[in-house]
Amino acid sequence: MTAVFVYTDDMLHKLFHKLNTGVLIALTAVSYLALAFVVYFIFREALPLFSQVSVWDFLTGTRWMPVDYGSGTAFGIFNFIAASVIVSLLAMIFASVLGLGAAVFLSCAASEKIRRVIYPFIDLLAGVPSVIYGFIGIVVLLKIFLKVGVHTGSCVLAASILLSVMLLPFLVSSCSETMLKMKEHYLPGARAMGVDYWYSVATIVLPSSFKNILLTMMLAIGRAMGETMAVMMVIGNANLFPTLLGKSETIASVIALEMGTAVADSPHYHALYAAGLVLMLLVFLINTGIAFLRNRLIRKEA
Amino acid sequence: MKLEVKDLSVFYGEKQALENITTGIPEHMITAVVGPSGCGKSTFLRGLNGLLREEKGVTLKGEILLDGENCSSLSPDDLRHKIGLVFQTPAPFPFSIKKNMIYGAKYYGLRNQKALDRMVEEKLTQAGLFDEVKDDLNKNALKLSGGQQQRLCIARALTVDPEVLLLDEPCSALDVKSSAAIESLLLSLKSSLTMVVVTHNLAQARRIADKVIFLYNGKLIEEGTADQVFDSPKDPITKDFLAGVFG
Repeated sequence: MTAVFVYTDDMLHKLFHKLNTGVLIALTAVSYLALAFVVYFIFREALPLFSQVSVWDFLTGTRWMPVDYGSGTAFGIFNFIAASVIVSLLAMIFASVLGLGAAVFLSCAASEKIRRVIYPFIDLLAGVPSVIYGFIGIVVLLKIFLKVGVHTGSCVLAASILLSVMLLPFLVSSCSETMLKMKEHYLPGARAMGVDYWYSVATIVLPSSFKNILLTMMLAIGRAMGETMAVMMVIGNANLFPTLLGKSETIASVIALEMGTAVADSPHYHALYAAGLVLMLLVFLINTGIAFLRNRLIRKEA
Repeated sequence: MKLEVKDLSVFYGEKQALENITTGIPEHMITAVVGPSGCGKSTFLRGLNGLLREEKGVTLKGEILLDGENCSSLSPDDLRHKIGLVFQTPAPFPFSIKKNMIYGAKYYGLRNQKALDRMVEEKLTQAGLFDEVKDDLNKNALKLSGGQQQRLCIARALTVDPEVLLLDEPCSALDVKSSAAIESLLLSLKSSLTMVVVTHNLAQARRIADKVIFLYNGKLIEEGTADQVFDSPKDPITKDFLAGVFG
């Protein structure tokens, strides 16, 4: 009798094992399929545009006139690309300076008690919806810029500052976690030699966290590129080459602002999809760069 | 006596970890601190180099004299400069072997490249590691084997010329062969250094120690030369411990 039970038990295990693997494969396939569909549809909706506008003109042109008001249409998104890249880069730089300071404080200066109080606040900051950040941007940031003398207050700098605040939680928590780990692992050795605390933080914790910090910064750019709402609310949305105190418009905000009014299957509609495709490729490029860099850094370490 | 411990008591909050320990650490010898886990071995060691003084909720009573001078009159950094510590788990800095070796010396002001190179060779040779790594001093220290990493950590501790070296179970994370390498290294360092080794490996204590201190429940039960303690223990608790009744 027992032998039979053992046998069925074993069968059950095998069945569950097979089911399990099957379910997991199916779930994985679904997520890949979703990605494939996104890519497919964006390509399908974007490509018709290029029968009217050359890829080169689309990427390097600075005139954006999606509807013909007598002077003809034009689809050049160079300024939008530039704005997306510059706003994200600036935001990343601001956030890194601030975030690194905060991370060093949290990991090396703050006591366990302070850390336990501050970490939840950082997570809370990450949970604020971007439209709320946009509000704060309009109510606080733009007012300040207006007072300083920027016309209407909307500008690239305002957008970058706002975006940098949105990137902070991610940067701070990721960097301080890395630094904390490095500190706990490596600092006792230096301290046991009588080396000053802050000297060892500067010469061991920071250099050993450097790779992770770099990767975090690049991930942050990727995130910043796609951010739409808050940026749109404070950047002014004018097709101009981005300058610090001038208005501009990012790819994401063009799409968000104009998609609702674009006639389906019109060149305008296809152009917006094409702009989305460019944004997607940009982020994809950055992420590939990160993956490449990470692999190289890890291989160097191993 | 290199180090004299007088009436040392340590409290973690309310809990007493060490009770009125009075003993001495003889110069140029290896003193082994043995006892069952939780008996206060590590606490004793960290009391010696002042690490305990910086921890929160820890109260220290009694005094420790280094060459007759009270340790609490030295700054914590100065004290640790003189009394080095090697940890249980080897943790070389994530840099090259060479950078690991010059880190401390550079901090204490040695900048001359030739002098640094000489020092690296001398200390690595002392630690018995030089021949194994001399061709790739620029290799990342984390790529070394566990035993090599521990010897590097000992060499690194030597770079700042400590007078006393404390070792907290330096072999417990290592295999037999690496342990043997460390043991012979410690024996060879005796001429220039005073060492205190915490170990739960009694055979090891017997092989390398000149003096043995036996702690139990935070109290010093017995001390003496290795032969005295191992061959003719006086206290019944020591006898039981050595016989493996508890551990």
